[in-house]
Amino acid sequence: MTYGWTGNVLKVNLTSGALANEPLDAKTAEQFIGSRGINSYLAYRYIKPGTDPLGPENVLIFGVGPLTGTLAPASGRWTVTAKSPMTGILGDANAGGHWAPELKYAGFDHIVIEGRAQRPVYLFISDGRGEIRDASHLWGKDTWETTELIREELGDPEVKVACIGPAGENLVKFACVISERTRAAGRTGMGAVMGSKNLKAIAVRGTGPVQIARPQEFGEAALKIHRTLRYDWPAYEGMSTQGTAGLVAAGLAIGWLPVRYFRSTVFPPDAVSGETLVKKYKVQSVGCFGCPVHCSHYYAVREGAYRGTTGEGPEYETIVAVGPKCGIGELDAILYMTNLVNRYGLDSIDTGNAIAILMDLKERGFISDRDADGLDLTWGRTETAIALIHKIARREGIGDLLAEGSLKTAQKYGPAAEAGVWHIKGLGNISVEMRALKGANLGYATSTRGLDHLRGMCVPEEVQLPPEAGEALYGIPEIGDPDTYARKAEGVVWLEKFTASAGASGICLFNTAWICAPLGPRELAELLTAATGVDYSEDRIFKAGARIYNLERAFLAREGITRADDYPPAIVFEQPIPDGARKGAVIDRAKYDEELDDYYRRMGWDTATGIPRRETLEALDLGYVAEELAVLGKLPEV
Amino acid sequence: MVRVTVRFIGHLAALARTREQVFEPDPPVLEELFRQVDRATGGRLAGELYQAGDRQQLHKANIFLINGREARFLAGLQTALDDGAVVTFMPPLVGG
Repeated sequence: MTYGWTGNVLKVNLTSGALANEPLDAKTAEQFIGSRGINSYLAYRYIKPGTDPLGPENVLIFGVGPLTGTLAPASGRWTVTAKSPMTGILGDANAGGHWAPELKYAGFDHIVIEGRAQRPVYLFISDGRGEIRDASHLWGKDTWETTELIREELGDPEVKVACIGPAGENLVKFACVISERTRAAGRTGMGAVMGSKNLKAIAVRGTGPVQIARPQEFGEAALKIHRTLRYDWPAYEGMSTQGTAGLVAAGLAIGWLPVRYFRSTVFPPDAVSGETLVKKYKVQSVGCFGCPVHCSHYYAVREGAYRGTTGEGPEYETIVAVGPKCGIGELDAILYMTNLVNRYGLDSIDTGNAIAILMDLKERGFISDRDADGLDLTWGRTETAIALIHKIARREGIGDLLAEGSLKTAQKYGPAAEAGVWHIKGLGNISVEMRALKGANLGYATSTRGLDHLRGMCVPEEVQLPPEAGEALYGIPEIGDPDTYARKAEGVVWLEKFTASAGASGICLFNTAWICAPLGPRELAELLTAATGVDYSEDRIFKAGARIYNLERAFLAREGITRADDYPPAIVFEQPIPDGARKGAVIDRAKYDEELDDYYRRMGWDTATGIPRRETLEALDLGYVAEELAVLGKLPEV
Repeated sequence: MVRVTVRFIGHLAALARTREQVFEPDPPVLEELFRQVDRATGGRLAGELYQAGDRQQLHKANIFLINGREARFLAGLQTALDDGAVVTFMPPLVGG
C-alpha cells in the first residue's frame, strides 16, 4: 500500500502504440516528492543530451503530486515536462483546475509519453488503464471545441481534458497545453512537443481514492492551514477578490510594470487594474480544486466592440503581456485576446512578447509595417495585436517568424536588433521590469527553465514585503527591499528550494510562501508527512528541493549551460529606467556578480562554471549525476 | 510649505472616499502626514494606518510607499517628505 502517491506510472509509446503500467519507485518518490520533482527526474533519465525537442525521441511527462486531490489547499496542480523547443533546455509548465485530481483518481501519478503517433491521437485514461484513440477529427479544432467533442464522444461531461489547439499542432515554439478551457500550462512550448507527437489531448476520468497514511492528523493539518490562509493572511482579501490582477496597482505604484516593451513604467492607473476588472467585467470568483483563495474570475463583456466575450481569468501576466507591454490599455480587448490565446493554445506571456518585439523593432527602425504584412505596428494598436495572434497560431505571414519566439524574431534582423530582446536562456521576459528589483533578477536568471518568476524569488520585492513579515516568513528582513542587494542570494536559494518541493507536492504556489502566504516549509512538512507516512521534516523539505534543483541544473549543464547564461540581458546593466517611481534604477553589474557568486556558494556549485560540485551532488544522493557529468567532462574540478 | 500627493488604492480608497488628495504636512514627515490623513478621513482610516491603535507603529500588513519605496525601508514614521512627493497607501496585494 502506498499513501499519498498512487504508486503507478503509465508509460505510453506512441510509435508502437504500446501502453504499460509501471510501479513508481518508492525511493524516487520520497526523494523527488512528485509532480515537477519526479517529472524532472524522469526527464533527466529519459531525455539524452542533444535530443531534438520536436523529434520523437523527446519524452513528454505529465505528473501530479502526493498531495494532489486531497484536502490540502489548492491541491489541483499538474506539471508537464519535456525538453523545450523554445529554449533547448529543460522545459516544464504547470496548471491548476481539476485535471490533476482526476488523473490521481484514475490511478496514476505520472504519464511518460515516448515516440510519435503516425496520425493524430488522443489518450484516454480511466480507472487504472490507458487507451490510445483516433483524433483525426479533432485536428485543427481549438482547445474549447476539442474539450467538448471529447466529452461528447466519451459520453461523460465529467471527463477532464488537457489538450493543444492549432498552435501546438503548428509547432509554435511557445504553444501551451490547456485543460478545462482556461487552465494553461503555459511556458516553454510543451504544447509544441505534444503537437510534434501528434498527441491532441489527454482525457482523464477517475473514481478511485487517494489513500492517506494518517487521516486524522492530515485532516487537522489541512484544516489548520485552510483557516490560516482564510483568516490570518493579510493578502487573502485582495487575492480572493482581484486575483493576481491586483498586482497591476502595485506594479504601477512601485514602478516595475513594463509598458511598451520596457520603454516605460507609467500607464493610466485604472485602465487595466484589478479593481477595474472586478468592477466592469467580473461575474464571479472561480477556484481550482480545493482552493480557499479562488483567485480566478469568470468574466463577461456586455458592451462595446467585444460584447459577448465570456471566459475565465485573466492573470496579471496575461493582462500586461498583451496589454501595457504592447501599449494596449483596453481591458475588454485584453479579455478577448485572453480567450483567443486560450483557444489557440498559446502561452500568453510569449505571445505578448512576440507582438511587443515586433512593435519594438519598428520603433527602433529595423522593420516597417510592410514587414508585418502591412499591419500598423504602432504601439497600442489592438487590431494589430489580435491579427498577430491569429497569424502566430496559424503560422501565417509574419506569424511564421513570430511563432519562433521574440528572440528568434529579432535575430533575423541582426545583432543590434537582438540586443534589445528581454530574455534569459531564450525564454522571454515576464511582465516585470527587471531593473526595478535588485534580487528578483537573480531568481529569474538562475531559474532552471529560463527566465521565470515561478521558481525563485520575486513576490517579496514586487510588493515590498515589510521587514517584520520578511523575518517571520523567511528569516530575512531585507527580502522585500527592492533597492538592496543584501541577502538576496540567500532569499533566492531559500525560495528556489522551497518552491521546488511545494510544486512537487501538487499544491498551488499561490497558497504558499512563494507568494508571501503562510504555508511555509513547516506546514508543507506536516501535510506531506501525514499524507504519505514519510517523515518530511522542514530540513527534508529543503533537501528535496535542493535535490530537484540540482538535478534540473545538471540537465541544463548537459546541454551546455554555464555561468555565462545566468545573466539578465545587458540592457538592465546599461540603461536606467526612464520614468516612473523607480526612474534611474539600473542593476549594478559588479553587485550582480557578487550576488551570483554568493548564490553559487550557497547552492554548492562551482563559481566559475555554475555547475554543481561532486560533493554537493553526492550529499543529495545524486552521485549518479556527478558520474555522468564527469564522463561528459562537465563536472567542476576540485 | 511641502505639498504631498497621497494616493489610496483598493479598499483604502473606499474608506478615504477619494483616490487622491494633496496634503501639506508640517513638519514634513510621514508621522504628521498620517495625522492629517487620519483627520481628513474622519478617523475611518485609523485602523488601516496604525497597528492595533498604537500611533508609533505602522499597520503591519498595509504598504506605505514614499515615491515608490516602503516607509519601513526608510525611516518609518520619521521619514522626511520632500515637496512633490507621492505617498501611496496600499493594501497587501500579491500575485505572479
